[in-house]
Amino acid sequence: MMRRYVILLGCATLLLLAAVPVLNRIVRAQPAAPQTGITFTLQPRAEARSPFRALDVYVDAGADRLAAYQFEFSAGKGAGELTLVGIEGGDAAAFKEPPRYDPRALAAPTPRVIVAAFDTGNDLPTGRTRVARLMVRVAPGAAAVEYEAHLTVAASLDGKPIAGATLQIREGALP
Amino acid sequence: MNVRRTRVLLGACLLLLTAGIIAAGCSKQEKYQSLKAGGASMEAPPAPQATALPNPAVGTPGGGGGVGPKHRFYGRAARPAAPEGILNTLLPPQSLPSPDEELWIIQKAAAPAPAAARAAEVPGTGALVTEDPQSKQTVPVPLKHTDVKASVAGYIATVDVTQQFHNPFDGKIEAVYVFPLPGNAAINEFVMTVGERRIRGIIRERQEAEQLYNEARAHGHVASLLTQERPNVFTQRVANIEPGKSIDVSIRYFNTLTYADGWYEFVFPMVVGPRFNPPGSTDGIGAVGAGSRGASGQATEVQYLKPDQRSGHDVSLAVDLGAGVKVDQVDSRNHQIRVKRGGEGEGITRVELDPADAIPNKDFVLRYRVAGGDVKGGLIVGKDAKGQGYFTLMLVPPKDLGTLPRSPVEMFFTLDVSGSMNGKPIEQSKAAMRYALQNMRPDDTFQVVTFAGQASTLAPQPLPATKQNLEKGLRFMEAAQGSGGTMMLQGIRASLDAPADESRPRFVAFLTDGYIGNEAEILGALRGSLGQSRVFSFGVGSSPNRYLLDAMAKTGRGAVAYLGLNDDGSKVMSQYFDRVSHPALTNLRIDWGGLGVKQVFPRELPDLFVGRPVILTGKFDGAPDKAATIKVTGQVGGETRTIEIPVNATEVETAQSALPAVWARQMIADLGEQATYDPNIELPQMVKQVALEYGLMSSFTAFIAVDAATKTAGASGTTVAVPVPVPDGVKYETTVTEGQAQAIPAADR
Repeated sequence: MMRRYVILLGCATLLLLAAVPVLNRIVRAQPAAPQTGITFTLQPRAEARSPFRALDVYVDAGADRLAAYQFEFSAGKGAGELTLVGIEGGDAAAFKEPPRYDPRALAAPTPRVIVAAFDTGNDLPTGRTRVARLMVRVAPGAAAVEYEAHLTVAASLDGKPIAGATLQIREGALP
Repeated sequence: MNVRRTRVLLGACLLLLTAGIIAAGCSKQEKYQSLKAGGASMEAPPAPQATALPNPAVGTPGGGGGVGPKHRFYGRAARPAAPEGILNTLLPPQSLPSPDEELWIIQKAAAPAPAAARAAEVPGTGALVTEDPQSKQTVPVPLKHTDVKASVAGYIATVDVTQQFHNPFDGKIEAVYVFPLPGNAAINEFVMTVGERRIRGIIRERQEAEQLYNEARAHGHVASLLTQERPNVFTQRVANIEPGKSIDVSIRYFNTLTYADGWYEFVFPMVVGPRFNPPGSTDGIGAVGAGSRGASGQATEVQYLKPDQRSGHDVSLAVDLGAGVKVDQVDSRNHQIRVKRGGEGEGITRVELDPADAIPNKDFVLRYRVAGGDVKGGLIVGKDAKGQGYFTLMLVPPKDLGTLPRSPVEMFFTLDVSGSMNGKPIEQSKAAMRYALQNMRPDDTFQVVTFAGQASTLAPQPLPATKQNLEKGLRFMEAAQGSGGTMMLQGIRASLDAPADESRPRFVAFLTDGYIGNEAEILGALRGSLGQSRVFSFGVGSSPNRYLLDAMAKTGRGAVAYLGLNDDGSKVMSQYFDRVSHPALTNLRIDWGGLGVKQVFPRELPDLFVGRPVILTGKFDGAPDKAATIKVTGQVGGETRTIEIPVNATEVETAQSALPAVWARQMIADLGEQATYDPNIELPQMVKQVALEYGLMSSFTAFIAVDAATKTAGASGTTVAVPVPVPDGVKYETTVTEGQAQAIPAADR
């Protein structure tokens, strides 16, 4: 069994490497996929409250089973007022593990938060599900600031994009 | 999983990889095909809620929670400025811990801790110590257990370390733990687990991360911060651990193993040895008794348990060796282990630490040989999500180097005789030196240097290796006792600043545990004085400062060896003699055979000594041509030799995510090394940039994780350091400073 697994992994790695240039060409050749962005406004808080806030990120995959997603989150007006300090996973078992982020994008002169996860198990969610929770710090006393987000990828287990998948972000409750 | 599904999954994974995110952790081989973006909608956030100030109620450790019959509360004295934006000035001072039903003795400092001790970076105290005169005391510490799981593919290890923090007290605490990791560990993953919830930490500039952590702590959020004090010493802080609660912190790192004399070596250090810091220094690593925070005056402190104390902290460790290779021999130098051989065809050997040997007071050193005795997988390649190629290459010296004779040499034996070497370590060193002095050649010359508070030499200049002189050298060496400080700079100067003998190359065998806090100064001095000499460092003891010893050998263009308490000193020294008794391959040049190679580290190619391969890491463009050959040319004995390495690239699963991190870690190490002799102020900025881009730990970056979704009640509680045992074989009384300190709540730091 283990041997089979190792062989499978080996083959997968080779396939991955071999396919990178090909798929890169395909991606480049096709027009960019439509990306519907959203804006999200964080209201200011009183000075005395904690500046740390949780943002719940939802993906609504409709009737499809969500196997992978990637979203991007960046500051619009008031850039620099928000700092990412942690990422938690979502509600569904498939996305329970904290998703990964792109450190390069975060370190860029105009920082962006790019988060992605995938799962290939059988317990994939449908409909609207919380896929991640962003832990952020908002500068105390800052005016309401707008952030932009868009869903870059939402895909089902068969690797097909989920048409009409939507991204939602709302502030999580703090006890 | 059927084939079709596997293919589909592979496609999906690949698209996400090209999107630039998942590469770091893509152990699953899933794949998606074409993906389109979905739509999005927006929901308005809830209206701001009423403001709630942090509860000024005081967390008071003490009382129940498994604490023993008698207790002492140690505290600290320094009070740094509050972080920006924090309302902790509104908070009343935290009261001292209340006594439990037995006895509390509260010690206060006669004087405040040195101002130089940067309180925000220094482990605090508040440690509860039970006293039981009848038996070895058990100290309840906020670190319950460390679990280590490693897998080795080729010569790259992927290691997951989970530290299980727990609050055994009845008040809220902040736990602070200073711990070691390998000096070449590329840490790129950090996850905090609070109950069932797992929160991924974010890499940030260190100063920013520290501010965020302090602020989160002051507001009652559970938070954790990982900072690097030295390339092999780290501080883990966990804030707002409520009574009885547990918080896990998981770290993942990659590192390359060493390969020497036919053995791969996997090392997991378990304790930071007690360091000596030269008078006047404040940015070293202090060694103080449990509860004596601030007594050393150093920026970072490790608190040590007394010999009659023990903590409940233990370690479990498992290493999976070599998928794809057959492991012939396994040897653990310091610990009892259990070995489980993989089944037929599986090729994985699992080595586990015996639970009976789980006290973290010595390095776990696992050596193993693979079938055939030859190095496997010399070249490992991989690409990151953006298609950039990375490689590591193990350069193996030609076998026939060992048959070539050497010229007469000038041997320096430089022995650390400071207090930390007292006992077994110095006895081991002497055993090795006895062998050396008895095996000199008559046409060699030699010198013996000892150093502690100052350096002494056998003679004003090196002596011919006559029988009479060698006996004199033996007597000089045998008279050395381990006591006093470790003024290593004196030892370096006595060994390298002595006038050179133009007719003989100088080889310096430097035997030390490396327990000093001024590594950068030592390495800078070594580089400045090296000249044509070669330095061979010997790490002595159960838990030597491997970062320093490795760096000394690298800077000194020699090689490192380790002399554990259970090793045969004469055997280790004989390997050294074998090493220096044959010429090395020097002035290396590499023809990469059409591989578009760039940014190779180390930038200065080292000499190749018998039995000591070196590992290079770099970037490459394009795809490796498997028909190509890498040619390494060097000089040996006045002749030109060439080593040919076929580009038969080995691709291992972990390499996909490990190689970029390993490369970036090497670049950071290289920049750090430059900083020891180059005053270029851009170096820190360059380190920071690389570390942030690759999501890596460094001295200028830190991992921060905050649970912003919940808040704990009350003030941030008392800071409790995790005291650790002194390394096996090291004497507490000759290495650890005991002082008094004052209790101070974490909220006031």
